[in-house]
Amino acid sequence: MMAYQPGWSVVAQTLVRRERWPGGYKGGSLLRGVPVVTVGQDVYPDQPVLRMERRASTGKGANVEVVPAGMYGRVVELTPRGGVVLEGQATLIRGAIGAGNQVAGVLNIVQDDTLQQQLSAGAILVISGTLTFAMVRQALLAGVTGIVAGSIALPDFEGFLHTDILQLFGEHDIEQAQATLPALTIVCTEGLGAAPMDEVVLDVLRRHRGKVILLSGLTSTRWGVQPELILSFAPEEIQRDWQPVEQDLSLTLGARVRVSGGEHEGATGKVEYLFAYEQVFLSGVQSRAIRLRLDNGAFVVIPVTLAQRIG
Amino acid sequence: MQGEQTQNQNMASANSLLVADCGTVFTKVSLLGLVEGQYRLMARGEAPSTALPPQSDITQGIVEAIGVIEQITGRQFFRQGNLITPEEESGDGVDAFIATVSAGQPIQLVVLGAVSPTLEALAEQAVSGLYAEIHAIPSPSFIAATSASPVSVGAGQTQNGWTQERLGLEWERQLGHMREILPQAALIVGAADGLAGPTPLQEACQLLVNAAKERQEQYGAQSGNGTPQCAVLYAGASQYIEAVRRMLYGVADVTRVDSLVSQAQLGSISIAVGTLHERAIMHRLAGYDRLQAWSSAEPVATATSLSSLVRFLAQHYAMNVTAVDVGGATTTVMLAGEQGEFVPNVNAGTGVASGVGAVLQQAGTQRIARWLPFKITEDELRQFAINRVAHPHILPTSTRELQICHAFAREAMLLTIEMARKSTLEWPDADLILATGGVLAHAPKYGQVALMLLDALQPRGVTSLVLDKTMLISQLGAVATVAPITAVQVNENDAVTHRLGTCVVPYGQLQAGQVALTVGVEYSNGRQHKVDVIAGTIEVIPLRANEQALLTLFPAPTVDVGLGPGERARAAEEIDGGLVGLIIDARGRPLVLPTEEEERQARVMQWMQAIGAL
Repeated sequence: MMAYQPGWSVVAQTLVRRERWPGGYKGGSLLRGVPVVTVGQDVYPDQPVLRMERRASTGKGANVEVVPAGMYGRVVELTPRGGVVLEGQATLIRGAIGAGNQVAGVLNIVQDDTLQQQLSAGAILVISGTLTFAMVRQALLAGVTGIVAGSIALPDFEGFLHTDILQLFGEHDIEQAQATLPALTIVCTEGLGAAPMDEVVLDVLRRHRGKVILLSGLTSTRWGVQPELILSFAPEEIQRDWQPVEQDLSLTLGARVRVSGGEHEGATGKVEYLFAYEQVFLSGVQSRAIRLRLDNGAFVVIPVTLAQRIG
Repeated sequence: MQGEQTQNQNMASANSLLVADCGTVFTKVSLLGLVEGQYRLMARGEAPSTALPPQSDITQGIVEAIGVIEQITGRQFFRQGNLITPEEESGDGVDAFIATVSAGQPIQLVVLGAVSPTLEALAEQAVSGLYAEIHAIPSPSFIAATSASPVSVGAGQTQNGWTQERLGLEWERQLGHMREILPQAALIVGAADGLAGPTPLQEACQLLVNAAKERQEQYGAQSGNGTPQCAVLYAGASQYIEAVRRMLYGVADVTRVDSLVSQAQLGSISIAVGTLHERAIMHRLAGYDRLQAWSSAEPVATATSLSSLVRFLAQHYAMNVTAVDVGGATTTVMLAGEQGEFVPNVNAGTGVASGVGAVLQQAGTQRIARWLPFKITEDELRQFAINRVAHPHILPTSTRELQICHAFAREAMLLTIEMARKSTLEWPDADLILATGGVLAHAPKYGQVALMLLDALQPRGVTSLVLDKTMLISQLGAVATVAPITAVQVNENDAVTHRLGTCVVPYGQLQAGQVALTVGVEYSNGRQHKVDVIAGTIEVIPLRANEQALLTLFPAPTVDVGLGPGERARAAEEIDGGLVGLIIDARGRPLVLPTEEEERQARVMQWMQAIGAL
């Protein structure tokens, strides 16, 4: 049975290979990276791996920031622009939407959805419910590096970013598009609206509380880029017979899915039945369909195109 | 050469063909084969396209779509990951595989040099039928020389207009623009005897050099979007071609094309840009090598394939044909005239799935909401668009969602037609409107399709509406280049068989509430029927797909049906019926919707009911 969605929400263990690059623009200036590690070197999350400097043609040459690895891994490549490509074993969490450059920070689970006592500069906060404009403003002012939340309302999201997200997600140059955004990376695992974070995702994040993680809010419908979190494994955590999990994207019986549109948008459940013939829906549209048992116990029939396999 | 000839002969006599159309959102595959001596569509499959991450392999979507065909037919087309070709005795495999592609981003083309508005318009026209986006960046000296208060370039401080500082700022702005666009190709235009002399051509080269240097520092040999260096087409003053090549040596490959001065040069530029699109976009799609290895002929851009078929239909049937293809990420409108005139317009990035954001941004919420028979907030429309952009494969499950989707489809077509009309003074009335694309082909009711076409294309006079429910016409052009008989037979047997009906659209001064037109229908069985059609309404007179009738039209004195105001018209031949019927659209042209919201919603509902769209 075919798959319709790009990847699971949580891939428990996989080999990731990512360029450590915090974005090439800052304060209107073009930046370049200067690696401070070499190919083949093992790195740990707090370890600086590159320095970001302004390009001479766009401003006075000066160090702008030192960039930590954000993950355990090995340096496998240095890119022409000065980025460092790291490879390591990690849990990968994909978000639905986000904004902001790649950042590293200490993961902190916010209790009771109240931020005030839990704000700390450089942290990446996890809010299991809905993010509000007030929360992001507080976090930004406190120097928080990133937020992972269940969802955010569209007006709050656009109000904070001061931009039309349809335009943002369709830009040619994703990096340049982030240059004018506030310096706080946001990732929503469930998307826009009021859906709480999936318990499976929250559970994974709880297990990595206090660790340094890598977060990227880059979202592009033009280039197929999704926001993501990389929660790397320390060498002592990696089992001897470690194998990456193969993502099966097909919709099979028992597959865990999220409904991505329609009346039950945001609901999650398991595939109970695969119809052999097309079903007709209220709109009159005919489509191949599946029956889901939602997490709340209800049964629904949806077109396969609305089913996003998340695990 | 002999091998190629043998291959072509084999394809021409192929008993079975798999034809794939790789769209941005969906991949469609059709199995064509011989049935009682005629080539027919035997089965088709559809699957989400897989060119983008995480699959990053365009062939995966094709394999999944073929999987559907395998389920339907019981035939096997793959063995150990390889396409089985030729067809075996068991029926497994296929004789030929052909692909058309519209996946991938449009090629970003910057037009540089002495870019006057005329040259910019010509360049736009040259690429109107391609998956290309044009960005005109006239050289600073050209802007300075042709601005309202022209001043000498390089004069230093002057009384008004362009100082050196201003020129410097313009250079920075243009470099920033290049950085933003990341073009795959550049078209340098302009004569050397204009107000600014040859300096604009020089500056065009310098801009490319500066942009390439910056890109090299940023990304190395690859540009930011994964394509190699910018390719340059030189369509400027011919005496400077060598100088341009010297300036751009090591920076870009320069191809000389005809100097762009008028419409006569559009063909060569169009072909050159089309080739660049193939090299820079299509060939770089993930999995393209495998696709090419399967294909019996080089994969073709879908728009190019559709162009061939539309022109063929116009000439073959000696009529004006308008074809419209509303896809997930691209909307195409093509007009082909019986005299050979051809106006293509490919609006890349505009569609009803991932392209819905562009429709909302360009048309605005009011234009979309006006087509809906219910109230809707801007927030709901934006939420709909964002969800579609994030999840382009989802289908509407409620009537409300479906109607919103159809409203976007109307505006996608309207935006494309508006673009096309900029370059065409005359837009002849269509004798035949041919519609394809997922949102139209999968519409639950034929009346919905008919109404979308009437609302968006606003034909006048008498025209036929035909729906390509099998979504084959976009591929038949490519099929025709290798298996022309197959293409012709499948077209006639299966592709253009869903005739919605004949449409009569009176125009002129229609008086609201008055009879605009009286229609006399004489059926083949002798039965007669007369209908008074009130201005502002739609009437559907029963005339089924296999029925014909003679038509007489009695327009009101100020109303025209093609022969002049008030002139009676009697068809020389019987007209054909269709799946909707004989449609009389007396809403007037241009179509003007009531400004008052409740009245408009009531009218829209009334029209939907009349045409069977509810």
